[in-house]
Amino acid sequence: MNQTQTQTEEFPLKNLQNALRGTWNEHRQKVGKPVVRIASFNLLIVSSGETDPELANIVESLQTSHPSRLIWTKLKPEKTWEESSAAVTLVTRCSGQQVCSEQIILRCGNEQARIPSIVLGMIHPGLPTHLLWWKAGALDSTLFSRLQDRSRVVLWQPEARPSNWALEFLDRTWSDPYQREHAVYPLAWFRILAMRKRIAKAFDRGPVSLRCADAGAEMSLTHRLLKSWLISRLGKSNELDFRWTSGPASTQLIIEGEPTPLTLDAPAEAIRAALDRAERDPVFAKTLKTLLSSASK
Amino acid sequence: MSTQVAGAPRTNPLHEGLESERRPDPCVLVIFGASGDLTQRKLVPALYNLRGQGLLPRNFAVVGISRSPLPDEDFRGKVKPDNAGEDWDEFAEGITYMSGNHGDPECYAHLAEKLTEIREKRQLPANYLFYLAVAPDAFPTIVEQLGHHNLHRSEGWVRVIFEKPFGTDLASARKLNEDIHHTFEESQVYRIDHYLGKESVQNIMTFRFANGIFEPLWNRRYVDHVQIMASESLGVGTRAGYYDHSGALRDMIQNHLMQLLCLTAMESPISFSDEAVRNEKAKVLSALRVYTPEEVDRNVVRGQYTTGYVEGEEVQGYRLAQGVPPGSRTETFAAARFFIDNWRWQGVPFYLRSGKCLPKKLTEIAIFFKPAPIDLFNKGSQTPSPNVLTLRADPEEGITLRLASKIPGMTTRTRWVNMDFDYGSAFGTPSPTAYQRLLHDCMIGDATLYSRADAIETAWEVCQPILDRWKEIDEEIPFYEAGSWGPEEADLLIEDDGRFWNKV
Repeated sequence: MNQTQTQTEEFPLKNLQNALRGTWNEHRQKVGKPVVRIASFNLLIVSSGETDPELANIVESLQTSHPSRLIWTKLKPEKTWEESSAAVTLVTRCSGQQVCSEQIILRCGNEQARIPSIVLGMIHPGLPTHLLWWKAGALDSTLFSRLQDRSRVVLWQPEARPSNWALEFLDRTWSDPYQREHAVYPLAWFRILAMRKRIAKAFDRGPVSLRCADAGAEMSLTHRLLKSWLISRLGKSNELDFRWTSGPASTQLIIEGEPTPLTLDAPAEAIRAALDRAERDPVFAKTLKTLLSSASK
Repeated sequence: MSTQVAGAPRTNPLHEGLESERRPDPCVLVIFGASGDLTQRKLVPALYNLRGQGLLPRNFAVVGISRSPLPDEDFRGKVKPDNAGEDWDEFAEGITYMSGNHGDPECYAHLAEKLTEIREKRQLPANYLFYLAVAPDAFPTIVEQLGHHNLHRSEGWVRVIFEKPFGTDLASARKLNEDIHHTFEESQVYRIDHYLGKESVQNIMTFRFANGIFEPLWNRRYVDHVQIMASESLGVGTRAGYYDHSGALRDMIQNHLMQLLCLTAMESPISFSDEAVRNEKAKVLSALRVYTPEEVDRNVVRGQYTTGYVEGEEVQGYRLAQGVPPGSRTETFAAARFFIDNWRWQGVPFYLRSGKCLPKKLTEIAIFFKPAPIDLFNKGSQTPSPNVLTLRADPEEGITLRLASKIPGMTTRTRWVNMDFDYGSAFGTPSPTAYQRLLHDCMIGDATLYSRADAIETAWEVCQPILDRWKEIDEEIPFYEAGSWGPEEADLLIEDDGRFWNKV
């Protein structure tokens, strides 16, 4: 894929629309031919701090596979609003004739109520909007509330093992009668997609046995979702043998006595799967309810 | 929660919400004509890529059969794809070769033994896929021999893929179908048309049936005409021997372009099962008007290229190509106006055009919509309708809608603008090749993208009067210069209707 970055420049936030327009004009003049936008959605990303190599790699891989207008807000609590800045980059293909990603990076000071006025103003109105909330703090923040309200698919990557309160909050978003097209998922739900497929396939042939190590806070949500999914689908079936084990964090599917290791999908893969579906998954809603009901016991 | 009822198939609630992954059963693929170009360029790379995507079982096996004696190792080396990685050796372990003449019964006895041996070694069920990558005149013998040696049925499944061309005329296609049906059930037969395996061709159905906004427009009320074109910039090259007995009508229009016409004109199937889709396509073909000799003269044009320039290079005329008889009248270009006599398409011409040594390689379907009842913006001038929806299959897959838009300024004049969707750009993930898709479909028993016997014969029924008429005309074929868009007669065919070929 032919990619060129046409401009990276900082300017005050209030001039952002003009700056984006200016970048397009400059790019058009440089290419000397008509230039088309091939984005198919707006992707809002909110993360905390400046450097997160994992997220940077994810963004890089997404912009080639999923053309979008990407508005990435990097929260800088240590800075004032006046110290905020922004950068616009066009990522192009076909000798610059196709703009597959318009990256708008906002480095915002600690005024969460002001940020949505910038982000929502930059959304391309003809395209659906999705939100990736990447280790960016609690879900009950004003910023999350305003951005998720505008988004169709919301993916949440918590900093640590989420509390029951956070999961209950998530559950409430699924019960909101005014948000019927709206789907808020923990990214972990899509990271167990391949596992679920393997287990479902194994269950075609007979009962399944699963061993999950209950170690490591990061793995816990995925494992809890996995178990809740199985229970919500199969009930207390004697065809399901699920056990927590101690030891290294791994998941094993036992088929005819032979353990087969199951691995989590990479975060980028999981995000791609979520964006490709972009719809409400009732199986997740039931899984979440099951998880919450077992947690309350 | 109970998940199984005695005697009933096992239900699996774990699949809900998960995309079904269509993974084939373990099987042995037997390729007749394995030393040919197709095995090396298309089939083995497709299989290798499928395996890389986890879509082939690990114990999958291939047996290549050809006349030339070749050790397994040499055959593996010959078919090794350019992109082979570290996993090639493991994959290649499943590839074996046997030399044999497809006309010799011994070859099949040997094959039966070899299949048993491979199955035992690789713990495979008795699932066999025979791929006939040989000249069509070898099809009946191979089919007959497979039957004689009881290789046409097994405890598992047996399927057979036929490469095109499927028959050279109506009689030969019917005879071939009859011969095949003596041994195989129709459900075992897969007639390949690699055009249908292209992602963009499959996208025609998605575009039509997943977007409700087009359906109300997709008929004689709003569509003025349809143009379907497959042009090639190359000449006959080394295929002159084959091509001179075939020509553009047999080589392209009877199969590829007819299939594109079916996808464009068919009604919505009741489901995307193979039979439902193929039923709808068969209905379109049976509604195509079959021409009398006089109608052939009015509605079909042929041509042959002479020396000229394509893409800056001089190209010798067709008759100067090696292997072409000096006075050959084989058409390297054909254009036709077809009509579909059904409720939806009555009176809407479908113009089909295909040829060699044209200015560029391109495959597209262009739907020309009728103009607005009154042109408010260009009074007094006879402007054609701006609205053309173009579905491109090759080389850059995509969709373009042409619209009229106001030219900026104080006047109300309009100019045509395009709304473009580029398949490769919008989806950054690479599409599977046509052979990947088609081989995989056959292995899972999905014949949607393969041609059924009745559809093949009906397409020939439409083309046969054209072939007959051309055979009886004792006059020189129209010529066109290599690098042009075909003979003048092709332009007249459409211009007589007050229309023009899409400018590409």
